[in-house]
Amino acid sequence: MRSKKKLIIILTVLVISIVTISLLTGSKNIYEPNNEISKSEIDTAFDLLGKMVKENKINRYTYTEFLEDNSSKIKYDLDNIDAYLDEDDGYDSQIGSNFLTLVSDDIAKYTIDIDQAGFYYIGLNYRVDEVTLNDITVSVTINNKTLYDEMSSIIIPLYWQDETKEYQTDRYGDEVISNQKLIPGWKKTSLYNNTYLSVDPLLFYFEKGEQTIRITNTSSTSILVSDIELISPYKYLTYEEYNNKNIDLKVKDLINIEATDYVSKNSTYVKSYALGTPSVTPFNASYKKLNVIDGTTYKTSGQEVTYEFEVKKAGKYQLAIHYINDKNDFSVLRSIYIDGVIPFEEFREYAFPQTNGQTVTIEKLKDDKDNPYYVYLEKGIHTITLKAESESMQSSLRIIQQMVDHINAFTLAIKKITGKSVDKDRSWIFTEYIPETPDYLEAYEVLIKTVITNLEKYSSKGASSATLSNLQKALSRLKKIYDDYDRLPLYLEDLSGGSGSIAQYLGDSLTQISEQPLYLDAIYVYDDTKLPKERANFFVSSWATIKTFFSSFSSKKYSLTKDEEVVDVWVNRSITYVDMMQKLVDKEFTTKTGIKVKISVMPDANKLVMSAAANQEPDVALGLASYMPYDLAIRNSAYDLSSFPDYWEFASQFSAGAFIPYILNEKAYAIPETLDFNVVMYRKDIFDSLGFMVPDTWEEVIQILPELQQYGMNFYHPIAGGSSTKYFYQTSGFVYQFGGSLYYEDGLKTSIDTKESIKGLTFLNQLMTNYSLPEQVQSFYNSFRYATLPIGISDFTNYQLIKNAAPEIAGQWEIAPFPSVTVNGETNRYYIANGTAAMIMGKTEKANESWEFLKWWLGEDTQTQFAFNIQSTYGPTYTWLSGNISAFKNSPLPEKDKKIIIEQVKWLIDAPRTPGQYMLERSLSDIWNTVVFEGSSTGVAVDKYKIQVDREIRKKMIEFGFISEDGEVIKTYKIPTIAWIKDKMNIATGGNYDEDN
Amino acid sequence: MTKTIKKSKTRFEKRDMLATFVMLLPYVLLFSIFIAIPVALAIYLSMTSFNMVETPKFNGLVNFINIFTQDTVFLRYVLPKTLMYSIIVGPGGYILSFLLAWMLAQIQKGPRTIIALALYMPSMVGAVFISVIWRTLFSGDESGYINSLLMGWDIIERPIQFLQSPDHLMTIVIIVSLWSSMGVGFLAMLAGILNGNEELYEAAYVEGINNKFQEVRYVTIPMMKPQMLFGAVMALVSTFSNGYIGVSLSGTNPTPQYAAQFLTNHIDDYGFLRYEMGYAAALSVVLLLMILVFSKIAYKLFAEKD
Repeated sequence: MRSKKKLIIILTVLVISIVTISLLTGSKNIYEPNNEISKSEIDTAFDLLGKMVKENKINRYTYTEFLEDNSSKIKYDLDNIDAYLDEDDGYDSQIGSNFLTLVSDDIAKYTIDIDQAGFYYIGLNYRVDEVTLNDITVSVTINNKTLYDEMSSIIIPLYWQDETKEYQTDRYGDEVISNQKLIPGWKKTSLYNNTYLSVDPLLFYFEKGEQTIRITNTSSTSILVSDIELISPYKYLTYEEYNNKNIDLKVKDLINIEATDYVSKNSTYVKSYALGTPSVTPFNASYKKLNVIDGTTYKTSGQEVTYEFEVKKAGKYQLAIHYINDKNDFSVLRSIYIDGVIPFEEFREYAFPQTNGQTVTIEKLKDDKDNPYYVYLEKGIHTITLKAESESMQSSLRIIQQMVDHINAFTLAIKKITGKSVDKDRSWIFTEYIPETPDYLEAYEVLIKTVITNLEKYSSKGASSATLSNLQKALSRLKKIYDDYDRLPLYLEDLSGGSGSIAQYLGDSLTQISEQPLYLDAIYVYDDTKLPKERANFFVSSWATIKTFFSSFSSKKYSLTKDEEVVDVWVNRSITYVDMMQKLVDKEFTTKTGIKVKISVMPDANKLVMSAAANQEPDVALGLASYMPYDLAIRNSAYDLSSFPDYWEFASQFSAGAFIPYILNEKAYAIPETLDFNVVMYRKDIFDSLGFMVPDTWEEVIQILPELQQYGMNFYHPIAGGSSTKYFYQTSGFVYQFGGSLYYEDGLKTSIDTKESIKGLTFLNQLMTNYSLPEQVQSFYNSFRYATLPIGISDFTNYQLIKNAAPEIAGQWEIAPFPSVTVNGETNRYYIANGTAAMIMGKTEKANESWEFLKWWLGEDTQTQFAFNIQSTYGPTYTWLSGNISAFKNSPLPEKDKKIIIEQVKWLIDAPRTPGQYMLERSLSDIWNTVVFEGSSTGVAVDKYKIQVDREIRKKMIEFGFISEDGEVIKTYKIPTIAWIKDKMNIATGGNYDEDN
Repeated sequence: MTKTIKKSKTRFEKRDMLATFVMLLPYVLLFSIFIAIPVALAIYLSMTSFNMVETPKFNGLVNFINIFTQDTVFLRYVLPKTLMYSIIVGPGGYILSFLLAWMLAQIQKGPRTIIALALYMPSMVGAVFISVIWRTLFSGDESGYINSLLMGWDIIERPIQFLQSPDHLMTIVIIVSLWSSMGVGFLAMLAGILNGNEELYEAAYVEGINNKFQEVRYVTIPMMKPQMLFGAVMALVSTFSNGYIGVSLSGTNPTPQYAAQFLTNHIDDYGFLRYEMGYAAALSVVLLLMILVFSKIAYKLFAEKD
């Protein structure tokens, strides 16, 4: 018995230790660079891949390659040359020169005579008065030619500052970020591309003789430009040269610059943040204090933040930075500018080592041998600028991009051979089809190894850095494929498509490597003194944690209380929005009208119904799902907004289709606050290489399907997304596109059995049953990235995701209008989308004040300003799609996309509501479900479910007193139509309601 | 007579009564606030028409009549599905719990603890796990493990829509429920078996039983009736009130074509989607009665005879 026990114990220990050891050493299967790869090998590999990529019409020639090709030919110390506008709009005395206004697509032309041929930087004098959140880009040509791709996307930087440094506090005592203000006036910039891939400005090559430079405004913002200057490239001093040049003057001082006290920055997205640790200053355990620059926003190459500081005594100062770098085992790069210039070579791309997670650390700027760098500063005011850089990463990123492009092209080539489903029983000898297969795989290997070799020096863990782990994984996956390359089609999943494929690993590492996150707490300019403490000691931080914990009990952040004196507004949005709204209300609305407004967060919209039941309801509710106003209205809990005489006039600023769910028997109970759109989103690279046209009608969608599916790709319809019960926006779009409707006019019966409606529903069902569209898609975003669904209907959420979180396909996708259907000679692009609603509650005693508030809040000016404020303060993920069309037109979306979206929004329509609408919604879902999964015909399914819907409507109509028990009409019910709404708007505006609004 | 008794109460007795009162107070208070009053309110609401916003209107037994005469969804889907689910998962999970507990009791302490923990885990983390693990396993595109495997083995051409298709949803709900049914009842049974009197077994062997089956039949089960009762009641209550699995697997209430629509989902549907609180209250009273009846049956089967 005892020996048995012992055996078991030994066995258990053995198993556990094996598991632990294998866990710890499992990742040891990594590549350690050993200088085995020669430059020529890398070039051959890169060019080999390049050849195939070019055949697929992806033709990249980047500045990184341009520099590599030309670096030996750069001559320094040329003469700088000024160039003047050929044509201008007049003279500006402020800069003493002529200027020209460039609105969208305008061109400024400069003719210049060059004495010394060579590479120059271009310095441009410009002014931007219009406030915009979009990047302002221009394209530059020399003699109508571009030298590299980046010349068509050159950035004109805008400089911003906080409106005030006296931060306001919100109702809970937490500090709120200040609004952002554009710094006006003429500026001079050297030209960089919009992703700032180089530390130094872009170089342009000029031949000897007369040259023409053209600068085209490719943005929608107007810019004023004046003279340009060609600047000779210069060599940086080394630190040694710099130091020898300066007087050796010792000082004893400490200048402490708080990171939040910046005087200017070139991106509104870089923002202050309240970090909850006593190691940073200022700090308060109970209330949030803005104390650092947020590393999650200060991470993109090119973002710069500038500080001013006063030196009391001239002399040599050291620099130190109190910061966090939470990039995984990897340094981040910042260039340090003193008074606008990088003083010596070593301050170009200074690498700040990783800190241990969120541990605040002081980095004294020093060389490899720990000798500090001294900067000589005269007495007086100076500036210091920290600019995020990624130049050293660029060649690696370029290589990765080349591989991603190639894998995409290669996969397509493989699919063209294998067809949709790979025959697994066949003995593949794939080199017979694509003989270069092993070469390609070898090239991948060489290139991935090169990237690891190039980047390992930025991590204290070398090649095992977590940031490089995706590359390591790609490499080991690659080895698996390479060992069996003749059967490559069987490994297609490992090459591209889906999670864990090489393409995904590479795509992910693109983002990881290029990001440069840095939380900045303070900059110290000092010498011969002790620096402030790096971190709060254990007792201080524990005490702070305890205090924070206990103060959380008394926090009133999410309590909803009713205040008699003010207009109470409950908003179903996060506190970020609510704070921003409250600030705007206090500043603009209350000062103008004297009406006090209190805005609170309503975390759960159902609270509204409960509060209505308990007579504790607010006056106004915002951010509601589009079905809620109706549910409250029919229960006599919503205020009839159309009783305000100017309702329809005000409403005419919005898309008519969005009002449909808010109308009950010709009375309107809400106003659309935000909206959503549906557009076609497609992969340009794939469509180009397959030679497809982008489908404009559903007919055309069906036409491309067979060929698309032949390559194992497909089209995405939103019905495949989300959960298994499908909503109106997924099921009923085609009903409207085919000219049908959901209800008969009196609302007592559903009209899904009319000829047109059945046609629409049949079409939707056929997409799955006849044309094999996917029935369920976990994530369109991922499938789109890996090209398994290279085309589909995208809503705002997916559009944002793909725009902001898929760098490897940036520039390779586009949007197009929603596919149309032509009924009776009329083409329409109707789509169903639910925005959010704003309403006034029925029991309010401040109806007029509430209406004033709504009109102010949803007006063009407020919405434009709010959209701007929220996005400029919190970044591009906070895009606000206002329901107010005029405000929407001002929103900071890329111009080209915006045009398509605005066109599409005109076709917005929402499902009309009746008391039994949930039954129709779920029945439409079940009709689809029955037909697609059980194979019954659409007509039969519709007949079956129609009975159920009609019964429920009848029951509800009796409950709400529209008809009597025996079906006699007591009160008439009327289903709203777009035509009726447009008519109302037209009358209200005196016939001025603009169809194209 | 009463007078004499009152008079004869000594101070000691009065103090005794006070003590009883104080001792009972917390229980009575908590019971009435959290159980008695809500149940009474639910019963009252079940006899009203209440749309959550306006004042409830009394309408007698109309709701109950409607449940059994008008509500086709209830009669066609909810009731049969709930019963079927409870009958399979209730006793099924219960028998499974007992079997596993008994088997575990046969092995050494170390591994037993680990395995018992592993079996108990799903019932603790249920809701989260369901969406994380099971939805990924059964996902209806190539990213679902099961579909990916089946397609990899060339068994199917197109992914099976496990979570959308009504043919599969109910089966999956039952599998998942069984997986997560080793709850407190299972632990109680394990404890019951482990605390069993060794001497009883020895005596039984002397009396002439000669295999494990007889051991279970004549010793283990009679010995642990109290734990079995507890386990049975727990299993019943949890299966009846366990509607969330179908909803969290399919992602919505109602489930597609009411494929896995249980009474609790039906209550949610009426209460929070259709705002018919009165009707929902009536349904919950029905649920209460059903649980009551089935618990009574469990008592009949397992309670001590006295």
